[in-house]
Amino acid sequence: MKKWSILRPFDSLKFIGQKPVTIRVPFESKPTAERYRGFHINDLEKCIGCGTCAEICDNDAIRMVPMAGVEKETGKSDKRPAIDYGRCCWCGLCVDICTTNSLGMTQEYIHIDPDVNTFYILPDMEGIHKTEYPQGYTADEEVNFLDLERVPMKELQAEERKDSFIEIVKGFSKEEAQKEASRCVACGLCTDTCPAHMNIPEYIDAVWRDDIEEAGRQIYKNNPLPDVCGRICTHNCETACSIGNRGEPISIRWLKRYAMDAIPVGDYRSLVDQKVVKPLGKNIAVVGGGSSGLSAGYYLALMGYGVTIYEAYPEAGGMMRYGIPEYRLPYDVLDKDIRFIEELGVTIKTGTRVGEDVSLDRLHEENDAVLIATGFHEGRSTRTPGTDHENVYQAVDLLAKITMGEEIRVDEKIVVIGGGNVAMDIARSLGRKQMQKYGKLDVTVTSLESRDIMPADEEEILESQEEGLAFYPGRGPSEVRTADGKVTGLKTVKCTRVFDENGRFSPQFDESDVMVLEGSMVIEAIGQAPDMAYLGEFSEQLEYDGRRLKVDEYFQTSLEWLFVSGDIIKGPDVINGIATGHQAAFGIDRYLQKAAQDELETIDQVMELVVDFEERSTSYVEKALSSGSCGTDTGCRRMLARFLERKKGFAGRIRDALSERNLRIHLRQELGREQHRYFDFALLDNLPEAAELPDKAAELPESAEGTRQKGISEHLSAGYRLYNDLLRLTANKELEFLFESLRDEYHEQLRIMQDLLGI
Amino acid sequence: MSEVLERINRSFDEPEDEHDEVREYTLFIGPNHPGIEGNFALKLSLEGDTIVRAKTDGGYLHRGFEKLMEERLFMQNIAIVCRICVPDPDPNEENYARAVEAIAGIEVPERAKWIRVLVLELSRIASHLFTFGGHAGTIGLYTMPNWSIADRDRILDLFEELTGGRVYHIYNMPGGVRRDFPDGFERRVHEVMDYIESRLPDYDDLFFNNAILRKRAEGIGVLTSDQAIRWGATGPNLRAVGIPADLRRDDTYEVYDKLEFDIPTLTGGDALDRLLVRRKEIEESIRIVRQVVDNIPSGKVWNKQPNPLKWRVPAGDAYVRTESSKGEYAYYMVSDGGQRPYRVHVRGASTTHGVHILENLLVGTRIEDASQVMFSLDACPPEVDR
Amino acid sequence: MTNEQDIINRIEAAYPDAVCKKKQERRVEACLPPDRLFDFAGRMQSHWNFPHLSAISCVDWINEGEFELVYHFWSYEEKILVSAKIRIPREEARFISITELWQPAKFFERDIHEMFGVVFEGNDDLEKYILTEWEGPPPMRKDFVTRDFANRFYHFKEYEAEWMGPQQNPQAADVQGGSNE
Repeated sequence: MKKWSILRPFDSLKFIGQKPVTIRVPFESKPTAERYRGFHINDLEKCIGCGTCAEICDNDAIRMVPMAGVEKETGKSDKRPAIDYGRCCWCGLCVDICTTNSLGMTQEYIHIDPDVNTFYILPDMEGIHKTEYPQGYTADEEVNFLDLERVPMKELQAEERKDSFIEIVKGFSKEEAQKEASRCVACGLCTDTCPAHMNIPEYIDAVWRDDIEEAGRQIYKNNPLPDVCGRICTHNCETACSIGNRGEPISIRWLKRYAMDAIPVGDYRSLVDQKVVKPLGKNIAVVGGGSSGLSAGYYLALMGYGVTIYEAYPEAGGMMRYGIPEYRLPYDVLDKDIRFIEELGVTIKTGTRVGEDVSLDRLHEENDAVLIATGFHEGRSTRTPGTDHENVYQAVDLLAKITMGEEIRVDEKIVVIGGGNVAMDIARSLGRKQMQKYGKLDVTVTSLESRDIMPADEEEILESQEEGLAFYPGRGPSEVRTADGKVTGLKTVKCTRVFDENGRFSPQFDESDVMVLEGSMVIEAIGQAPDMAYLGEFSEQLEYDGRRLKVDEYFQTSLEWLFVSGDIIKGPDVINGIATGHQAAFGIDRYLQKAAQDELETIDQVMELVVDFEERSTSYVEKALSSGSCGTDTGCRRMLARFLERKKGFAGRIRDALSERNLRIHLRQELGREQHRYFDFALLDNLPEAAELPDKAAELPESAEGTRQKGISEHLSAGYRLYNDLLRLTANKELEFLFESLRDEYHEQLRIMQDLLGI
Repeated sequence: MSEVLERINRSFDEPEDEHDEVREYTLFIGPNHPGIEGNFALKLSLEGDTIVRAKTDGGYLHRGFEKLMEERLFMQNIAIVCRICVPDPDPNEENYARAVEAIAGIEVPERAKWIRVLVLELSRIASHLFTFGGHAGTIGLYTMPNWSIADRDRILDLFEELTGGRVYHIYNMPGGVRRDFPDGFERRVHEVMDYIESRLPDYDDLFFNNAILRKRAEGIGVLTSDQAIRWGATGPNLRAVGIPADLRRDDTYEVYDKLEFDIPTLTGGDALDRLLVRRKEIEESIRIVRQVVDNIPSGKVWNKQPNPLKWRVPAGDAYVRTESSKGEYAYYMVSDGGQRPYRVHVRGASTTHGVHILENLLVGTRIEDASQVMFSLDACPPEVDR
Repeated sequence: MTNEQDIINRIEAAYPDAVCKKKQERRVEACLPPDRLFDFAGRMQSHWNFPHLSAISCVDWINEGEFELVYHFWSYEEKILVSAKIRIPREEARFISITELWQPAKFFERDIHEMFGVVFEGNDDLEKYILTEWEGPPPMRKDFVTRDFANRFYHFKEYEAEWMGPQQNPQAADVQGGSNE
């Protein structure tokens, strides 16, 4: 037989009768492989709404949408991913990059529906059809897109550092900082958690791009004490960091420190894109030169107010200087920040204690508003028998004395009571003093809280242990032992619980478990309280909320000229001090503006007008479109429909811009400078109203078509002029960008409209 | 052939009556002609049954991939490159990954290199099976597509198991591959390879040794070795004229230099030989696949790359080439040091076959043989359109 | 068989103004003044045994105001790929065609003309191939922004899925979805 022939194909007759390989859909279904990339599922319990899936999606198929019943909380946003199967390409990149491993894919792969809306889903664990399917493609530990490990921070070793006050943390090099910054997925959950709402993803991105100036600019937007915060901030942001769900959170604080260290203080001026405007002739007194007072002073000065800060200590800085030891926050770093605030025109009167050197009443008389930000400087006593002995000290007093360079008593054996950061600070400072004086260290730290619930930062505790401090957590002090008039030690008993079922402070002890901690000096570091004696007669006029002063959301007290911020309101920590100072400055401006309403248009009024205009013009165009009275031209109709779609967000964007404190400050500055009315308000008043339009095009007189189109173009041109005016009024980049884009949008539509109408 | 032309020409020279004035006419084939792969059209000028001029008309599958890639992050692009060519998507992934690796100086783990070879060879077999089916369809042998496409599905099953996707694998990425073998994968690869191998004699009976194919394809669309070089033929089309050029050997990549395989060549240069070269290549690919699963080293499959959302590839450019089932498949990638490729030029294997060679080879053939020429060149229009 | 350095030496000897370097195994790059390219291409083909023109790539260096044309030549015997790079001004870009030497160049040049707008003198077939109904600017140029075009040209419709309650402000989602930068 020839190798090839017409008969060869008949060989395939041998397959007759064999079972076909076909799958008889829909009676049979084909099971998929285990890693099949089918429809998405999302574990909503685990999902934090970071939006990284939406970022990596190469088809914009994932949108983060607000979800009913989901609230914002630390490290979680109120949005969850919705998936558009009209765009999805089932690549599974979202699964591989998910920061929580909540997103996965199932083995389900068939969805047929004539309704297009069923292709847009908000996945939960039940998938698209709410039926149970085996899990398909899931995240893999080996192939993991995220960088889960931190770049290690170089530090002085325990042996090198424990006898000196030299700063422990050495800071990142440029390469390290860039590597660390590249781990960020820019989800922004940190921003929500930060009390000052710093633009964290933005400055991390700038560090990554090696644009240090921009990083500094982003940092200065919400934080006038960045050098300080780069070192000792409590970094709530890192708790919220989405990378922390599967790995180590980004070292946000060290990145901030890197950026600020890289910029010489002389260049700070260029970082602040807000310029100080002509003084408004109004003065504010700030009582207390700590983080909150300085922050408020900074923002008020930028707005054109005259600010004087009254500081009781010889130098400004408050707890940042007199509470935090130098090895954590070197004084020259603090000076860098303060000097810059002074450069902006803030006067700091040091060594002036309000209530003694100058009365609050006088401050009230001489100023338009007064802000008190005096913080917590009184140490709390444990009230243990024997604490009235002269060798029992308060931590805050000693820390301040160390800073001021005063001679303090340092014994060979010291006991510290307290488990918070202040306890760590004083214990480690005294340990260093002991090393300098005796060449050895013997500090014992005891706290009510057991090791796992000690309130101090974990790294503080670990570092203290490295340095050789002895810890006895979970013990309550019961007596300071003395012999011959000298302290010999602290008697402690076991603490069986600190808080009751309701989380209230209610310690219980086991009196049989006694331990005496030896030492000739006892330090109490269990907390601080405010001293507000300077309020004097005003303290009776003020209203209280429990033991705290009653304030509104702008930290205004019941005396309208008196504002409060800092530790006495919220905290205690530096970042809350900065944030409340910022908010109080905003409140003071609002208060003084209201008082000055006759003189100038308030921002709110102008903005209400803008929002009102947006609403009116939207409803006009909508009505014109729906009634069919905007003309028969399909080009025109399509143009307007598209415009409406985009315009929907304008009013919201303006409102958003206003809720942003910084942007307000900007507009505030500009309006303050321009004492006259800038806009042609009549233009907005005389616009055609939607109500004037008939419901149906048929009801129109024939000649009216052109009139209606003219109405639309009047709206468009008014919008253009409005934003153009606003644009001239601002010098802030973000606002400029917003107004410019809105203006251009109107201009573009106007141009198309005119083309269509042949004007 | 020239006799035919002469005869036709002579008959036109002496018009029998005035109505026979029209000597040349134009015919469109496509873009939805069932005998054509993908959306693609031919504009033929004919005299009688003989093609005197051919123009290709493409662009129906243009999706702007090169532009899209410029607007996406380096890692995002792995999800779209495979879509450039449907039947044989993996050379795209391979090229893309290798181009990024070349520019950024990324090392790939040894195991991943072996896996990539496996994927490429499986893809080659699948693509050839697809082509056989299509080719057989053009001459009315409809059993062949049923068989070969059903058998191709077995390979797609393997892909599904390995990558999670059947057609678009999105599996290769800069630094390695996305997943390791699932449990027992090697065994199943062997099973499928044994099966495909056992099917080859059946294909021979049904198709390659079928007198219908022989009669239709033999001597049709003959490409001489000189023409093949001059017109830029590559891959099986070049090997069918007796030139043993294969990028897996000549411009070797991954671990092809560690594997044993032959480069089948034939000398006829006609439609039949182009088809038979592919038939022989399947055997070689099966050989490679078996070597890979038997000898693959253990280890990791991906070297960690930076966070894809913050990843810059240093400035530079690279020209990488892969031997796809259709010939030389190349990417020219330029990075300006940013987060996205500055430029990616996709040189599909069919760029020469599908336009220049096809247009030239069709001249002088008869209209009924056009499909033989087109299919034997195995041109894939989406590679040209991108 | 010669190695990459031999090729480089050969090129540099014949074209003193060429800048060559070995990029990696079997890859050589040669930057040439544009007026030498035709001569170079001819020599590659007829003297140096590079019979295969793998591709011609075009890169739009918009900030420098230049187009870069990259000719990839492959030698079956030497097993080396030479990429010859030339730069031409971006404004009214014109360059000489090499179709005389290489027939496959016909389509590559046609493609570059269509996508970048470079005119190749001597190529008689610069007809549109892919974008036959397109009248806008050559789309692969960097100043053509796809997203802008899509936003302007297409009308996007919002979904109205059941689970989208009244609080699902589509505008908020739109701002999210649109920001891929």
